[in-house]
Amino acid sequence: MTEPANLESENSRAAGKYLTFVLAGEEYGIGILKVQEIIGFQPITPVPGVGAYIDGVFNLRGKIIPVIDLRVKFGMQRQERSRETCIIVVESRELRVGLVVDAVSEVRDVKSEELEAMPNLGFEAESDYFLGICKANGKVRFLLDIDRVLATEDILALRRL
Amino acid sequence: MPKKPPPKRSLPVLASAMIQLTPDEQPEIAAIRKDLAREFDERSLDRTAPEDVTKRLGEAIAQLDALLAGDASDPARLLRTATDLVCETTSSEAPPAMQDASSLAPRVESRAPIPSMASILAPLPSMAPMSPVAVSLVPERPSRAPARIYRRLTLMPQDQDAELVNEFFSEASEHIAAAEAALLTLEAQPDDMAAVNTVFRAFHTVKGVAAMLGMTAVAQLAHHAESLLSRIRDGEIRCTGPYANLCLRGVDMLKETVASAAAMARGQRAELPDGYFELVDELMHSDTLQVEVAPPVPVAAPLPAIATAPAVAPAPVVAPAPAVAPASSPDTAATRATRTPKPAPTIPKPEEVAPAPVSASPETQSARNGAADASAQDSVRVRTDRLDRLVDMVGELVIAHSMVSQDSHASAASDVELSKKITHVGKIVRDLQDLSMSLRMVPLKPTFQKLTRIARDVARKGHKNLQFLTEGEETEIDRNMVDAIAEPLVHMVRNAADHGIETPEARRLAGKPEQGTIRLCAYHMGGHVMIDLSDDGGGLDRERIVKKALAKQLITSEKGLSESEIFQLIFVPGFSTNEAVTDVSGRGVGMDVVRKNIDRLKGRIEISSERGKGTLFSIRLPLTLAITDGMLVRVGQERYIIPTRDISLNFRPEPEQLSTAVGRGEMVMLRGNPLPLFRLHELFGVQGAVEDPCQALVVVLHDGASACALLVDELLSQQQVVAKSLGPAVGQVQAISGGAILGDGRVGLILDPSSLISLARQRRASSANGPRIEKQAARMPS
Repeated sequence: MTEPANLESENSRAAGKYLTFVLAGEEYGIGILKVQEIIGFQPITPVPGVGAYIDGVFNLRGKIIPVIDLRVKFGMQRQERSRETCIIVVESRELRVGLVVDAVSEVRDVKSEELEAMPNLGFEAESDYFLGICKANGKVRFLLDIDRVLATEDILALRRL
Repeated sequence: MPKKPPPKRSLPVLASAMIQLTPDEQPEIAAIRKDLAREFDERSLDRTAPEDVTKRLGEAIAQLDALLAGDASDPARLLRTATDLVCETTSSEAPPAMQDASSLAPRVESRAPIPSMASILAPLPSMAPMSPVAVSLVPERPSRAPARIYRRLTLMPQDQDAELVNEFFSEASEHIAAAEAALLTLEAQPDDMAAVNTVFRAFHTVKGVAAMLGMTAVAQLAHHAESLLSRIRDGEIRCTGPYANLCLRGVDMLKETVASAAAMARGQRAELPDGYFELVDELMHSDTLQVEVAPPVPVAAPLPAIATAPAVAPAPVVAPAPAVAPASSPDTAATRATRTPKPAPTIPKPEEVAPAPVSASPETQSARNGAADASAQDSVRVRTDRLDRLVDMVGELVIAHSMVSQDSHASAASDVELSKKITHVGKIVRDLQDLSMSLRMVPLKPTFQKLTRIARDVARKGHKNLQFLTEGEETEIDRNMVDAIAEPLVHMVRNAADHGIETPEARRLAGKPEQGTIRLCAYHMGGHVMIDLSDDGGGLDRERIVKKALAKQLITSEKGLSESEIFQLIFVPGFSTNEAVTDVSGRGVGMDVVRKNIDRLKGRIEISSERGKGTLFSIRLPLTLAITDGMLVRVGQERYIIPTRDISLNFRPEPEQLSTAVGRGEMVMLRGNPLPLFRLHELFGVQGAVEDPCQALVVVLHDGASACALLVDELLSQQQVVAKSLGPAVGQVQAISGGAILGDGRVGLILDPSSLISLARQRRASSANGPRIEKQAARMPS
């Protein structure tokens, strides 16, 4: 923030279309290019012996796709599935993963003037997940860097297996 | 040769065309004469052109003129002289080899046109510089070629079309495999001309394409091997003894060189294989090998040219010539007219000539080869990932169809027409499924051929006398499994040949025929592929296995172990040592690797053996890895698939069958044998499962030598599932081998019994001091 020019370019890079969704009343966004599709909640087969945030696997037209519960991943309370619950299928570094979210809101064009850097909230790892904050119409949306969310040590470790 | 000759052909092209000519092909000869004349004119005007070349050309043209005039008493001789002259020009113009550097005409290289596809099968212009023509025509030259001739060899040129190159590699490996197999046939039947032709064609095609791609190292080797083969084909030498070995080594070296080139094409560092130059040298001078005189073979059709054979030309001259094997196949016929049999344009020294059986049955041979080629042409190479995708999609289609057919609207009896249509679609879908599965099936033949070769080599090295018989090599197996099964088989065949079969003396003493037999036999049985490997060697020494196992503390006592259980001990990791323990597991290269490989293929291996009589290894493999025969079981709300092959039986226990050891280790008695009982719902942390074993079901799993019991709620059905990986995000999960889409579209997890058992033992061991099993443990990351 000491160098506004830097911030400017950072912001313009983060600007673009985002798919926004709700997790425990908070609104988040994922870059639209990472999103493959959104599907209603599917029956998920739990897989024993993997990280708790991995909800299990499901069948996406013949392919077996793992599902990550974003609430659990972010250390929030797990929630019962509802009609609103959705799976957002994203592709990050050739890894196709489903993300369970409470509800999908909209596709939003985030302008660079709406962007702000993520303040340091004190928990290190999670701050890494964010590209920034989008403030518009009196609402705050957290823009996720999904590559980072899925590239944390535990998932990388799973990949290596 | 294409019907219409290209507007201008370079000398090497002309030379190779001439080599294939017969005197009666007047029009072609006239065409060549015209080209030669043009070349001659150009050179006469060009002061820089070497004079001797121009002179030779002139002479050659004169010879052809005499021939074309039609009054020559010996047209064949005229043609050959002309050919030799043109050949000489190419070899003297060409950069390498026997000529002085001063006579090099550097521009020739660039003159040699990239051959069209049609001419690949003809000797390539770029091959000409490497041909040993100069050697044979200049007998007073030292016969050992100076090493510098190889200095221009290229393993893999930089700027080649990757797709073309890859195609070449896969094609080359097929040809090499075919050649290897044919050579082995030749060893047994040195006069099998079909086999000779197969080998010849392999070398020839590899040479042609390699030269076109600029891989001169491969081309050169293939070329010299081909020369040797052409001598065999012409009946000059027989493919026995040193020649057979030389041929095989040629194939090996070709394989290695191609592999090196492939490595280079992938961007790795690669060099010419060791011994490359030595072998090429040996191939070039194969006539110095002890010549074995061929037994007289009845001559079906005398070769007319024998009578006119001049002594000046030793055999290798023939080498570059016969672009088309006498038993010519239709595809080569497309490039030039088939002439079967055709006298070699240059003839081996008369004293070395054995009447060639080449012409024994040209018709049947070419018919056979023609059929083989036709079937090869009818196939299309498809990338495996596309094939896998197809199989996936068809699997989805099957599920989608069953969803439709089970839909309440569709199954309502009211609409007969609709249900008829759905049944019809179902039939098509099933056919489609069968078909898509069969697409991935390939015969075991190439694998068996490789094994034949290995048995031969091992036997030779170990001075064993053995015959290796194969049966059912047309048996098909999933493509993905072929490579995986080759490794354990190689190991087992080597063991059988090295340790199983005794030395001839020992066999004689044992009253057995000196020649040992190893029999490899494949067949289908009940949806499985069976591969039996049997030998009539010494058999397994049961006593020594037991002693060893006791010493290694693999077993505590021999009691209660059946014969086959004892034999299975040789597969236990750590059983084999460097000390020769048994006849089969001698070298310490563990049989456990064999078992591991077969396990990975979801197969089973059984041994039966009789001391002094021999051993039989029986491998049972599923037809494909893609489909697993499974038992669908329910635990709480979850469903799992247990591979049927791992299940011995299942039953609902009576209270008196159950007991615990030290309050924790649950056991179930089955026919007097205690089996450890593991509860699946505890292992996987599943809620709401049946807790009372007497209300649930026990599935007995066997994991090689040991067995255990698994508690599940109920069996749902037996079904075939398409096994899929859970993907890299989930990775490998202990006790789970993969997933499968069930009939309702949900994913069912496939259990991996052996890792399930070790997981259960781990859990039990870690909870030995605490409460029985912590439920939370189940969700801990593995």
